[in-house]
Amino acid sequence: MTTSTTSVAVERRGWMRHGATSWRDYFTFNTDHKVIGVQYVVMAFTFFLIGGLMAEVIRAQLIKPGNTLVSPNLYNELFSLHGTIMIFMWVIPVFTGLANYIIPVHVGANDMAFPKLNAFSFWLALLGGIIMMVSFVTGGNASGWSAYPPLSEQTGIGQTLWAVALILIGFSSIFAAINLLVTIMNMRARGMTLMRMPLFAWSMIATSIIILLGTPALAGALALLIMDRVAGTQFFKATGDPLMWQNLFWFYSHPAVYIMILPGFGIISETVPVFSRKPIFGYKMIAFSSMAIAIFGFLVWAHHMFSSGMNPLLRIPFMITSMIIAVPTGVKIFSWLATLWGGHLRFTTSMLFTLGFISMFVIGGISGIFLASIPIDIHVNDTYFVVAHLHYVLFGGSVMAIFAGLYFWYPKITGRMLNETWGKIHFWMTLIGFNITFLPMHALGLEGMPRRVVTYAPEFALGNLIASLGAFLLAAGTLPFVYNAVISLVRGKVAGDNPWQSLTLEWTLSSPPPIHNFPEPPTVDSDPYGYGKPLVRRVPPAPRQEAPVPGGE
Amino acid sequence: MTYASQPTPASQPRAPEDPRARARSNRVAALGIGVLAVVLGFLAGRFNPLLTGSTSSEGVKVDALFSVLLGIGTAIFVVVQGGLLYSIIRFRQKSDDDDDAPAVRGNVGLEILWTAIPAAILTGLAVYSYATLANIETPAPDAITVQVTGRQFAWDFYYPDRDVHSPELHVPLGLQVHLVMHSDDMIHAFWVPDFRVKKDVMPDRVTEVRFTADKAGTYPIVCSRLCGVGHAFMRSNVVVQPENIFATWLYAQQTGATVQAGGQPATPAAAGKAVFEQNNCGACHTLKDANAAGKVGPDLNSIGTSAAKIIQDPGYKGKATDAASYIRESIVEPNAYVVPNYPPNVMPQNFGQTISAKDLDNLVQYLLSQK
Repeated sequence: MTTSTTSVAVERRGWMRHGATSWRDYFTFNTDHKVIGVQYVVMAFTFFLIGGLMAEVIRAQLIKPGNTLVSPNLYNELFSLHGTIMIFMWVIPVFTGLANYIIPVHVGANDMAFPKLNAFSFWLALLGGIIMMVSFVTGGNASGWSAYPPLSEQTGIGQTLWAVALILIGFSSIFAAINLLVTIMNMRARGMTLMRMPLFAWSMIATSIIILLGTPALAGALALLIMDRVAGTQFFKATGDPLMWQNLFWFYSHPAVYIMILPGFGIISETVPVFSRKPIFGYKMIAFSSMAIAIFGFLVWAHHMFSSGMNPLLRIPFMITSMIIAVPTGVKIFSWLATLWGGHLRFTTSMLFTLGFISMFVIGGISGIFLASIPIDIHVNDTYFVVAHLHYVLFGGSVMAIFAGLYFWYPKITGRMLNETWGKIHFWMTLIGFNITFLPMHALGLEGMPRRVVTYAPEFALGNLIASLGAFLLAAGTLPFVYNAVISLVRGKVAGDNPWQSLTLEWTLSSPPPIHNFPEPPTVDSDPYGYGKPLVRRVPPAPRQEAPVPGGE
Repeated sequence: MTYASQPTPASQPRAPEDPRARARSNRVAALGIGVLAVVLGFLAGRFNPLLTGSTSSEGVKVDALFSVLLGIGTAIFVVVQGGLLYSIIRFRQKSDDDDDAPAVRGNVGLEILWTAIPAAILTGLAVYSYATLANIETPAPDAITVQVTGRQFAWDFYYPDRDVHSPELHVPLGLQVHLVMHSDDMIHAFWVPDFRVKKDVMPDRVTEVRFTADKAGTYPIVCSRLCGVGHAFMRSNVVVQPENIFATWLYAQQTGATVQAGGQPATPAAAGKAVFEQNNCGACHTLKDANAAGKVGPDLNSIGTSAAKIIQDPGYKGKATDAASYIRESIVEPNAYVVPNYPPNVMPQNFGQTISAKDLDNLVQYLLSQK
């Protein structure tokens, strides 16, 4: 590298930039992992607001039976895009963004392994997101986010654009996974063995492996779907094999559930010990359970198809694996509880979202066991019970973890603290609104309300009214966060290097960290969870070795 | 035991609690949460308020399985939420305390325990679920077979022994019913919530479902697989009747059809109304005469007069030359002309194949009579 590692100026190479000193730098093709991390998070949050707005229209339509706020066709497009956006343009990229920012500083690297590929991943995801929105305007996907053929071959032109957008986003996701995996495996600080890594890094290894193995299956299925639609092939038509789509789709999309929750597990494994002032309980079991989930995650996909026309005998092994995959997740939950137990708990907003995550995710986990049991699944599959389950996992789980992470790392990223009062208002409105919205849906599904319906029988009126009112509260609860995040950029208390007294490496740097992160390569001699005993984490710098350099320059 | 970078608390530390007494009270609390979990889990399983009262003999077994799951789920819920709540109350850091907590890093015995116990419980649940599944899917030798056809957005039930079609499913009480199902277009799903049975209805293969209705009555049939714009309206009923009443109904359907075809033929318009109902056109269209109030497609209340006006319209692109041919075109080739403000590709395009020529003539006559 020709420039000094302590340089503070933005580097320019042709039309590329590295680092940011003003807001304009965030709108360039920038190869600094910290800039890309912020770009990802802001883009994903924008899509969260768009997807959330769609959810509010959906709940407004369902506030009473027979409502005619939106037409049935528009309604189908709304929930299809709501699901797609929340999964592919919010949860997955926001975790990619947080990992992008945090993982290099977490493991003591100066940047990601492939900075240009990293920037390319982000811009590809944004392009995919824009095409996704265009598909909506042109009469989009009206066959659900799972886009089962033959219905998805009958819908409008936007369905093809939707598939194209998803392929682009999938490629972006694959590139980001390669980058993170190589960064974690090859660029860790001296002395940071695998067993001394922060658990967030472990969870990103597991996540990246799933992305690399699963996403190509989705891309392949989408390519065949596009062929069916534009070239007249017969892969998934009634004359072909519609069930094959379901196999290919869920071969990716069930593991994708873990793509969307494992990074959350990682974040929670960081915040719990910091705010309990205790070492994480059972480090090895938490790390290994992430890897177990990555492997088992590929053996359960057919539980989405228990009521389909699949071979009845094949359902049995999938039921067993679907039950067993709850074990490694349970191990994590018990380990977090044991970390809290006997701790000195500090109730920051980040901690509140952490506790909210554990509490809500467990409910989603329990309803998941119901869904693994074939006779129960046959009754509740494709009903509001499933809608409740998946939102407890993805909102109560993933989104709570995202907010725990955002409140935790905002001071490191911006150099300023978020306002805790607004944070607590945000948390309580979210927790209460969330439960009012999704708790009644369990009962609605059990009693016979199918999902993806523009209207419903009058007997379900009360449950739906409650859910709709809860959804409005939930949406309003997001406003304090937006206000807080914007106003704290200028008015927030200056954070200092380590406002939470955390022991991971990013907190040894200034907030925000300098453009090339570590002025001197850090050295590590233990895992970063040495709370509760006097511990010197950084020994004097050893003689400098040939450290891996980002981008191979 | 402070973290090196922390400021020392300004105030004097409080008199330390006896750590042994503290550990003892925490152990008692943990035990208490465990006992509470077992008690509440038992009560939830015993008095399962969420899924009861199935009216099929298979559904009763599903409800029993649900009760067990609910009991175990409640116990897990209480353990985790109780542990969280106790920690939140008991282990809150005091305002005058900036210390770290004792550094417990793990406990191999506990970790083995909370891996092994859930694994054992879940394996047991898998075995019990399998036993229930095998039980409810066992064919009975005297089951009666009905052929089910799903199409956008209607159900057709066909009794092959008597050559009877019906838009509603009639079944005898207490006898196993074996449905053999196939779809004409999309993937649908046949679901009777009260019976806890559901199965996808596929266009490329035949699927089966079995149930034994335990209680006379009328229960909704719901399509639970998104099948297009009219999905929410693709509903019908299953009518459970004592065996002799069922037999009478079936006989009436059979002979009724014969009378219509033979002795006193019904008027084409009256026959057309039956076709309208059989194909569940009312799911998407409003037509007072047929008690239909669908809002997906155009209103058909005065189609007999408006059809002639539409073909005069300069915007009309189809080939029809009079009201009857316009109505026919709209049924068999709905995209030839789409009424303004309605999206194309919504109405199924295969009615030309699924409705017989005679039924189609009758349907056109019926709609033509709506003035």
